[in-house]
Amino acid sequence: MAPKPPSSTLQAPAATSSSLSAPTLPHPAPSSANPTSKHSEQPPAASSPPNPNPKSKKRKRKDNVHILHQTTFRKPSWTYFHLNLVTPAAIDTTSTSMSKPAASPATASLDLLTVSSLLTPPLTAFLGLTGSSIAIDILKTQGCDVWIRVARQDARALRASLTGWMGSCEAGRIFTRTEELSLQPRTLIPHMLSSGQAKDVVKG
Amino acid sequence: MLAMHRNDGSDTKFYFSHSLLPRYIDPHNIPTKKKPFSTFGAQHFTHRLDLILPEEVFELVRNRLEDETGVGRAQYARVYMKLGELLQGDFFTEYIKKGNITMLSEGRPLVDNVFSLYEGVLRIEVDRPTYERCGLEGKPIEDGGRKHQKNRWVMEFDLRQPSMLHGKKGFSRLEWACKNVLDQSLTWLFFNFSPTSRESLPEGNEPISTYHPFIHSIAPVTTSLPNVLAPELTVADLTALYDQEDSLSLLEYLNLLSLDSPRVNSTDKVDAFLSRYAVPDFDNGVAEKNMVRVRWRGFISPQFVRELFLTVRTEGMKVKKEEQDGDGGTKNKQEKRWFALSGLGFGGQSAYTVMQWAGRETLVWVCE
Repeated sequence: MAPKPPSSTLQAPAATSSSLSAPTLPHPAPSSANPTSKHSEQPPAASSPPNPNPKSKKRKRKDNVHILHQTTFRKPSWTYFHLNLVTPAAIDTTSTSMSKPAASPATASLDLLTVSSLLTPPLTAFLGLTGSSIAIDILKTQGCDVWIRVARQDARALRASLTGWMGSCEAGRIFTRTEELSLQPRTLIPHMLSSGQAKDVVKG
Repeated sequence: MLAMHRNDGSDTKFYFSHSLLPRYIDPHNIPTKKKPFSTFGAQHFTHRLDLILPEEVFELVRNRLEDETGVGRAQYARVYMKLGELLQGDFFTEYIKKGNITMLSEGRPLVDNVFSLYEGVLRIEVDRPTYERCGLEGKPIEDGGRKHQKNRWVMEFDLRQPSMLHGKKGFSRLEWACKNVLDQSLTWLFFNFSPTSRESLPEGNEPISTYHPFIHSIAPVTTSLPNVLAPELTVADLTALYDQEDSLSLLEYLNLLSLDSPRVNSTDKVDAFLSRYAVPDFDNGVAEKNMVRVRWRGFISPQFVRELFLTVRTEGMKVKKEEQDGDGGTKNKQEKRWFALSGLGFGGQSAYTVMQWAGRETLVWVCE
């Protein structure tokens, strides 16, 4: 049984105007395909298999592609952080000397403006005006957790400035301790954090 | 140039692919070599699995997911054991030689000693002094630190080999190392692939029961995400998304849905000073939709993920007869239904997101 020569309609993975039909030959068992990464703009005519003799006993499985496009992205534009606010009240549960009616008790929830005002002093102290001008997008706040997004080039500066930051907010004191966790924060957009991301702990 | 602003250094990489599912998937012979199944299999231990679907699709699969004995449930155990105990007695013969289990020990990858067992291969990751004391053969791995320092070493042993039996030289060297060097009692997570394990583990009829495991069950947690803005995308638009900016902004959008961020809500009116995130447009506009997020947390195996993926696809994304194109896919280029499955591995080191459209088109992002 002569193998069916590939028709051009089967080999057109791309142009959005043409119909995207499945580029597979009617083989009964489409296994062991060689997934070649065909670029999407490949013209139909050029994608016939390089085998000049269609009646050869070795059937070229290259026609049976299932990967339409494959690529690697490096240097993404954004870096994501997961920060956590820890108040002294939450830490010193046994010590009575430090306890005062906490202005921000451990169960308080952060809102966007508080986060913004908590993040500006460390950036300004570390990098001055350029530090305070780093654009931070606050993606979500939940209890004492906050998720933010910064441009990748600013991520180093942000992390460094939050390290060892000590300050105050309203009546409480704020410390910043950076924990370099190899564990990425659990609920963030984890894939998009750069490797070795710090989980910054802002104590307040 | 300040060190702060240097643009070099290792970055996260994203491996993106747009592929087609096989034309016919045999439920008894689930494929493992093609995407996205190869992606599921590459992540041996999944900590968290998120499934994002439109509400309509969720309603179709809801029963299957919430069914007590169904595809949305699993169980794993947590035990305190020493590494040497894995190689002894009943545990060794029943589980490793005859059965199929997977185990993961406590320990941060690249920082502590981590042991894992998957498909019969025991993988031991240790730092250099421990490696030298073990006296076993291993390979150095990159730990992100100084080059040419070789601080982290990995030793792998295929315990299913006939040479791995008590009394054989290689095996006794391994046992010696476990007895003298790696003899700490650690917390392990354990999962047994055998279908009878669902009943026998809680009853205490298994070899692991002598170690008094804590049994945990994995159940889905459903959160509804009402009134979110979603980009209007159809199957025909997918080929236009190969650009880095577009592809990663779609990934970012899917992950913000997973995060349940208010920035994707249609009612969100946040000042531009606080957040300048906008739902990506892709030239087709955005529309309001109701989405649902289902989340599983625990010790999840790739098999669970595969079965879940296939269940949602077959039950929730049926292609109407008149739209079928004879190859298992859909002829309708305006097809809008999709669902996204994303998995985060233990240690946060590996993560993937798979976006499956009704039909055969699949987008996969793997992050490293």
